Amino acid sequence: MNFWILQSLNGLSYGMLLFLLAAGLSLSFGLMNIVNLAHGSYFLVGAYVGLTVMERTGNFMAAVVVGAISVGILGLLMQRLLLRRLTDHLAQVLLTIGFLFILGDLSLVIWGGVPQIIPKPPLFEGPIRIMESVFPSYRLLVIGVGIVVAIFLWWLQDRTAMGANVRAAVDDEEMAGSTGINVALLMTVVFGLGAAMAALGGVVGGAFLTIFPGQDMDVLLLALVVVIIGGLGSLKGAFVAALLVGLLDNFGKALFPELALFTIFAPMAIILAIRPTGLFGRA
Amino acid sequence: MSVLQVQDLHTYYGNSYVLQGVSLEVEQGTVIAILGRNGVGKTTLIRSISGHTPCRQGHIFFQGKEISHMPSYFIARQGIGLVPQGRRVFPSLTVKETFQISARGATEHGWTEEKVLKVFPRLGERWNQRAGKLSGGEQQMLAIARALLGNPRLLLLDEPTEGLAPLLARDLGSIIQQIKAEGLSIVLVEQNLTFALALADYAYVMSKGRIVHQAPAANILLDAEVKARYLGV
Ligand SMILES: Nc1ncnc2c1ncn2[C@@H]1O[C@H](COP(=O)(O)OP(=O)(O)OP(=O)(O)O)[C@@H](O)[C@H]1O
Ligand SMILES: [Mg+2]
Repeated sequence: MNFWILQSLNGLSYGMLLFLLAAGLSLSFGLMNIVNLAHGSYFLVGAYVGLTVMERTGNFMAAVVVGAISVGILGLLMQRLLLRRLTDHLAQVLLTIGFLFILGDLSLVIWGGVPQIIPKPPLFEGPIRIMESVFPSYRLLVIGVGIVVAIFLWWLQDRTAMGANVRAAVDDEEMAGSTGINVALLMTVVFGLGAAMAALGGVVGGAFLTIFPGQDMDVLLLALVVVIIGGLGSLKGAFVAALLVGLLDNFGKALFPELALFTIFAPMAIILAIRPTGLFGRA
Repeated sequence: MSVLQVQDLHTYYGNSYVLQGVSLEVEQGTVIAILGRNGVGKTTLIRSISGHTPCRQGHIFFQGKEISHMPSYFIARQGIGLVPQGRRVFPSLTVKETFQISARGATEHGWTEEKVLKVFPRLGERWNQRAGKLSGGEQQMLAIARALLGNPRLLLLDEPTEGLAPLLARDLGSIIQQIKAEGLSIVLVEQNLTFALALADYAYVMSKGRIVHQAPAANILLDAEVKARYLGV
């Protein structure tokens, strides 16, 4: 019994990380038509920046904030100066793969090749007792953070003027412009927000997964799977698909370790065969 | 004083040469009509002014300021409101949200939410409906409301009666009259000749990307030759 609960918690918390990561990827792809393979780098660089801040200050909140903001600014600049000028997907892929390698190598130079882990905030280091069972409290925290971010994003998209502006731009970009909305600037901000969320995932994840060179590609692969299953541009899709992939990945590794990624790709193929636009994608 | 001056506009879609030297002028507080058959370039003219398809050559002055290569959001904020052909409301936004994102620069006597709702009470009844669920007539009202809420000095209306029942078109005519009485200048593109000429002070007739005739609106109505040759009446 305990095995199932624990593995579910692990899967869900990993899924929440994938959601933080995939939300921005899905938005930039679905709303701006930008293919960004450097998105995994935002996760990795965010984790390393968080690690450094944590080592210097011992303050986990500061690690999260600095990691997210610095990578958010990196994303803003990349979109504003380079990516938005490229409408051709091949050019975008080449450019962002370049960034993936450069950021990966820079991280290797700065932070070294040894896997590292961010110390957990003291309050969430130990296990927590709920009724008769014992849970790792940090996993619960990660799940909580994921839920809070999901609610925040839903609120931003559905209940604020900024969200209405974004939806207007997605519905009809030209007419959004003629309504006085600076669509280009709005898209840059959304892109930066996506990068910051990936970095948030990196810092939060860095305290229970290890951080290592090459992780950028590992998480990028899973994030792409999440975006494809959930449907381009759909936050709801990213959320549901991230939890699904998180659970599949976790139970797959626990129950059939020899099958590796098969437990993720086989369901993905089935879902795509039934719904080519993903679970919540627009046709 | 003229609000809008268009000088020798040449506009292309890729290699296709559509506007071939269009010039016109809109006096403060007047309505001009742009007339012409299908495909002569009326919408392209509107798109050049609103910044969607910038001209390759020529000038557009709005209140004395050159706007011909400005981005469309900037042109809108300068005070040019657009009601495009086919309405193009934002289907996933509610009426309320459309009002929210469109409201800009209202002064005490400007187009506030209340004032716009007084002109279009029907939109108040549909307040929380998504625009995609509205009827064609309601969408046309919303498209006009959206433009007015930006408090423009000049309104571009591209075939507002297209697809409307005659009764609704008549209502629309009195609404445009009301908007004009507020001091707005209007460029009205129309295929419906009687509708346009009843509202307009001055009219331009287009053919194959050029202005081929211009005259006070009343004169066009009486000009059998122009009507037969360019307007198919
Ligand atoms: N996006 C486009 N790409 C290429 N050609 C276009 C495009 N839009 C319009 N055209 C062409 O430009 C010419 C002028 O079109 P435009 O839409 O300006 O005509 P119009 O006078 O508004 O016609 P209508 O009364 O049917 O709305 C037409 O020959 C049309 O086929
Ligand atoms: Mg047209």
